[in-house]
Amino acid sequence: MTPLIDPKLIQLNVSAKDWRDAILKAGHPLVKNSLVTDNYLKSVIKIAEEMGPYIVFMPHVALSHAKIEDGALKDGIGLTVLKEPVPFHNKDNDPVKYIFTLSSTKANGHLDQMAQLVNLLSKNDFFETVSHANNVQEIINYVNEFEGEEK
Amino acid sequence: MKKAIITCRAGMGTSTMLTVQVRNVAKKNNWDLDVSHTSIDGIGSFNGDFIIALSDVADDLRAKEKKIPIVGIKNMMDQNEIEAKLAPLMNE
Repeated sequence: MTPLIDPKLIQLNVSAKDWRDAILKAGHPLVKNSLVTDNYLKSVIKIAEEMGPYIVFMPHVALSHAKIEDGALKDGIGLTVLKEPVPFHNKDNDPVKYIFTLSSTKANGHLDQMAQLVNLLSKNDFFETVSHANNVQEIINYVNEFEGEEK
Repeated sequence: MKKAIITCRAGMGTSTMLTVQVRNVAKKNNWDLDVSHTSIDGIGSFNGDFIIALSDVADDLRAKEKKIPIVGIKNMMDQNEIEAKLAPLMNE
């Protein structure tokens, strides 16, 4: 079974000059691994410009996503931790340090997968682990352990 | 039974996660609540009791949709916030 967060799509210590740059950099591994097209990331930015930064769904955390027709090619979830938090102009939850990147090829999303992600984020020590991780492997280990508990 | 719809612009990411959370809260409170989710374009055909969205989307929707109550959630992971905002609608 594929892991909840794809190890190839995890990045630590990423520097971004503003929120648009942060979306592009967080999404880069998804483009490189052919999960989404370049256009998909442009759509994420366009959606946030039109609808406001609602993708910042909890304090300091954003979910970068657009629609299938914007260029989602394969399913996957990644995680980028920014070196310095960046304002997304979300009045409640700024600034953003963690960006989850989502590509979903199912019209209404994957409910099981999203339920797992919600459970992962509900764990008290998740963000503490991620913010102190020295390398990607520490995050992979944590998520693997979590998925083992979920079974 | 009450009927709610959850929406975000794309209808697959944040709205799917929020759907999971609202169902968690409904279950905890034994609310008889039917929850579905859609992209913002799908809202037009909804004829249930209320709409739930993250606060930015909710603010935007309030400008267009006047008939159905709209609940805006700031922190999706805060079950207490979701519970406090939905309880008055569930007890109506």
